[in-house]
Amino acid sequence: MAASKIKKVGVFVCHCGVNISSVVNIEKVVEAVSKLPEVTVARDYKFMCSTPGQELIGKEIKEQGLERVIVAACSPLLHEETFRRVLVKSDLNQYFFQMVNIREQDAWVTADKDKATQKAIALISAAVKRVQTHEPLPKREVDVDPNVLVIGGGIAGIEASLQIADAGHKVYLVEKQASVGGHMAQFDKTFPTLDCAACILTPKMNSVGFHPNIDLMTYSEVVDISGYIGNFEVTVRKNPKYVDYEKCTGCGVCMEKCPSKVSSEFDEGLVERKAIYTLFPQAVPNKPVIDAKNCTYLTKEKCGVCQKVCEAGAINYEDKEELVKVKVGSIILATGYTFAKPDVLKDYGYGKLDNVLTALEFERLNNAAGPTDGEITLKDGSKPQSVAILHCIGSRDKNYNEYCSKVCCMYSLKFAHLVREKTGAEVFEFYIDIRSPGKAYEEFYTRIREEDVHLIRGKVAQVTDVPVTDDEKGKLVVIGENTLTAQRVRVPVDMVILSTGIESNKDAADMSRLVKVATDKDGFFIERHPKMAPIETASAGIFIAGTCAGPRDIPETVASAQGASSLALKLISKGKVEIEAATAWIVEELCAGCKLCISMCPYKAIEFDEKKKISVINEVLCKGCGTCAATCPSGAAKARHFKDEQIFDEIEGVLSL
Amino acid sequence: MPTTSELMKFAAPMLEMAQTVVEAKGEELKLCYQCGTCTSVCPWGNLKDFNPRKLIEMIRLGFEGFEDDSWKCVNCKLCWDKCPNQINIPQIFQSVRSILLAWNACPPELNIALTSLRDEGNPWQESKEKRDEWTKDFPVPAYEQGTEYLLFSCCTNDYDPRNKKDIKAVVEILNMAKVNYGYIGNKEVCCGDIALSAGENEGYGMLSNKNLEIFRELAVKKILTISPHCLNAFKNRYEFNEGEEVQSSHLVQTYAKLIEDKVLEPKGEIKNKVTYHDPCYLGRHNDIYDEPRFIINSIPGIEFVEMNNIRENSFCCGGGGGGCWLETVKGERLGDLRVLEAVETGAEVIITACPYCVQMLEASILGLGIDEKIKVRTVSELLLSSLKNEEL
Amino acid sequence: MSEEPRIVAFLCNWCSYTGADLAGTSRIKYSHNVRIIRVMCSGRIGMSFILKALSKGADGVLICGCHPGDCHYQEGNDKALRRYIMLKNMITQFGIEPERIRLEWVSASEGDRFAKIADEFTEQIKKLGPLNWKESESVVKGSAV
Repeated sequence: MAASKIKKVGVFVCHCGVNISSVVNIEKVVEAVSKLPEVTVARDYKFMCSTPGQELIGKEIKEQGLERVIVAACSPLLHEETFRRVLVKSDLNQYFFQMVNIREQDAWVTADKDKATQKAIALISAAVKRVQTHEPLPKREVDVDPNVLVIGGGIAGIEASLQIADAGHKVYLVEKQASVGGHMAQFDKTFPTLDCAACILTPKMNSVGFHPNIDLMTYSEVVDISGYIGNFEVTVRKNPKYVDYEKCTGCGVCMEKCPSKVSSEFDEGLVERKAIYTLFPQAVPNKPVIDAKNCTYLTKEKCGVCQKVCEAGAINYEDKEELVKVKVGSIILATGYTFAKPDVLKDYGYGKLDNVLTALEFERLNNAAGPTDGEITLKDGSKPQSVAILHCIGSRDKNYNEYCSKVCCMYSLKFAHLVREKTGAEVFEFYIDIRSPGKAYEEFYTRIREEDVHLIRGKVAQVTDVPVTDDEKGKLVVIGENTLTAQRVRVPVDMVILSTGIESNKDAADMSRLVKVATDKDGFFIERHPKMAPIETASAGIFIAGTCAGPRDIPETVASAQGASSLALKLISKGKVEIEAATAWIVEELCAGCKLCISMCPYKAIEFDEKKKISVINEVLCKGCGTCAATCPSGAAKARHFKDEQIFDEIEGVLSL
Repeated sequence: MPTTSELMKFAAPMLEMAQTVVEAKGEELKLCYQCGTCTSVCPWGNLKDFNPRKLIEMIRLGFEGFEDDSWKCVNCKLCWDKCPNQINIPQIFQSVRSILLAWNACPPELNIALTSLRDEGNPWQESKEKRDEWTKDFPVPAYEQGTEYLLFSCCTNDYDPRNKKDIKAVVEILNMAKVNYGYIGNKEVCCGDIALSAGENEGYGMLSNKNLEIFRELAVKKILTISPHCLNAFKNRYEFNEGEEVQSSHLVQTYAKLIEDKVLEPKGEIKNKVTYHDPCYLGRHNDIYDEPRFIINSIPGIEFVEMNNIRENSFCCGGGGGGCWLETVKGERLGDLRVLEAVETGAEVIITACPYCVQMLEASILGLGIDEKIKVRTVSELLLSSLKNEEL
Repeated sequence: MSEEPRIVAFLCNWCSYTGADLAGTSRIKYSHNVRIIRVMCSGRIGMSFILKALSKGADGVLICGCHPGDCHYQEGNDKALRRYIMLKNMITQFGIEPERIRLEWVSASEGDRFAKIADEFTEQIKKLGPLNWKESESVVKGSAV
């Protein structure tokens, strides 16, 4: 670019209430940047992102004839879009804008006020230099594919799928397991209303199974995602079921006759299932799959009973995995959670002592469709006389998960109620704090107290079967402190329920890589903003619903699923979406045709023009990472909006003070 | 006639007190959310009303009444390991103790040991010149520059008649295995663990500096400890300079290696039923659980049984954290519980690897009058008996 | 000012810049000397950026990208790593201590780690002292890497 005259810059410094101004001396900053030759006007305002703030910028653009705009405020990840829109409204190209992060990366991280002020001035100076070479980039708009992919068929995925499908759009619902339903299908009653989980979930599961707009892919996994908002291409691997669902009538004879038994994961190992199985009797689809690892025919080519008894001829031992490609405009992640099984369980005798159960095991034991038909019994079949429920097992514990799992207090109170109701046993509930913030939750807590549940404030340290008194013989002894009386207590009981917490899925990191949505330190997906964009993610067009974003109860999960579906529908209803214009290009005259960039481009977006003997970038495929620009030995490859000279200017600027 | 205000009882926060503790390295107490795990696991809870959780709350708000109990903690580390907030609770008590010491509010018997530490470099009220007396008729190689290991003997082994037996066993084994080691005799001073535990930071600083000076002067690279308390001081507390590569290890680690390499071959049968008591400073503080068990199991003829509370959940003898130097009334001795637990396994010998544990457990055995039933031996004594084909 | 080290940090938009933002939202204080420049991908950080920074008065340069396998652009961080290794050799030949540049992987959830790295690196650069490398511009442009 030829040396041109200085572009008029307006600098707008935000106080962010006192978030910035309590550390950064705004007055000094404005004074300093006003002196820069490029700066025509420098203003500050309490909340630059507010309507008056935006209007202030718009007014100055018009009145001063500003050619470039800088806002020094929070992170661009938060409000870059907001301010770009202000420019567009004021008839300036949105790329004539630069945001300077003086909140997250200055005011909030710098202890010394003078240094913070100095840093703010340096960062703004860098932007002032940088914007001089900003170029107007055209809007890039693409059509939105109206199909939606939902990953995970628990209550979150079910709800999101139904909302979108009912609105008339196609949904691909991919579920890893052989049936939809997720964890909710394992529960019997739900707090605080105590309505049965199956009664409220099964109708929805059925709707998903039969909805004309939902392509349900169970026993399947997403293995690849490419593309971008509006235009994702997704590869789904359908794992072999060895049962032809077109032919299978779901009669169940195969499951009856199969001789091979393995521990049932759905029933938390409390009972066994067959090698050909449905997850549970109400499974959707209600057709079996063969667990290849445990099928005698598939492992040793012996048996073959299921094939012999299947009158429909649906058993197909030759079934192979199948890769299916689908195109969608947005993706909803509803991959759920796992119940934690922390090492600390051994301190509570889990795995060693009988009748020490995890929460999920108790859910199955208590489930009307579970291994005991819903009777709460000890391993020997008798009814417990006394039960201890221990809160915060592996939660609120820096040795395991530091966070509160949010649902355990309430489900533990629910357990107490169910034990009292079904067995009349004495219930001792050990808690640190009872957390019951939710509609009708506190009232439920009151009800439990009225039901003579013995609440003891203190965390249990140990469960042992070594007695010290006659009363303790043959019992499980729970040892903790009643912190309210400051006494160490030993309570002999028949059954111990460990209230284990919610943990991110074991494969959260793989899923994170697949969908390019970062996870937090605990493996939960990070929302675009914890408060203002809790369903969106940093990856445009990918939304999160339910517990894959953190511990949530059923109402919250359903609400977030409805939120995610509404965001997906918003995209569909708009039909078009604007995408980042900052792609790369190659200056023909400078390109020597060495093809280095072609080998480095992760998106195969660069082709070689055999006639001209130069490289050419396909801008539709280019994602703007800039690797080619960093690689090109002749400086021919350029990254728009991140050109060498722009970064160089920024370097000089940040080093100026 | 009293005034109304004289009759009214209440606690008022004294936040200055709390702040003082925080400033004396007790800042982690702020994290406590009062779950009571520490109280549940604390060994004292089995014997008396001792409540670390409540003490932390009192300290945090500066309520009076925590002072006397603050000397009880034996730094067994069980509470710290189990605390969901990972609070170093023993450190909080050390911080409180440092303040109480400054107010001269230290139990008198502990004060005697601390004074002896300052004056003579050992807690036994013995002259510093007499440290190496046991070597008069029992030659031990002197440490010189270039010797591989410095054998750090520990005051208790140098001065206490019972423990002298143990160190002699150590020397015999090391000689048999031709380990290149040396002893520094009267140049050694206490590692300072007791001073540190008692909150006597100045004394600790003096002692640790003296030892550090000697280590530097003799260019020591490897230290072999007999007491896990010395090991812990060197490994986790001493402030070595950056680049000073001093490796500290415990004897049981050396023995295990020598047995594995077949340098030592314990062939003599020991026909006893034994159990092993994990010293807190060897186990929980330094994660050494397997080596002593490996050594015991390598002895032919031995019958090894475990107690209920072992390894990470081992039950303290009561000797750590300065506990060895405190008077404890009968019926309130942690060692008693541990000894009885051992007896209940049917063992005739408790094997252990710490001079304080030896002291505490033997005192409990005598106190309980069961010295016919059970005795205490160190890992070194056990190993030597087998090597020499003698009775344990 | 001479005793205050000057450090330029290049952060990728997706992981590291978000991580640095998290340090802010978590209110973790770190060295003010670290000045952040955002790029879309660590793969965009060419050698010329680093040489430019050093020639313009930076005493140290920090490069942060997504952890291996987590790159938003598939493998830009891998390219950053290869370039970094080469660059270390190169600046050594210019007589610059290789410790003045540092590459770290910082994920979006590692705010505390970013702050720690920023502080550690500042300390390291303080120990090395000021650089004062005013190589002619031609090196920067001519190197064209």
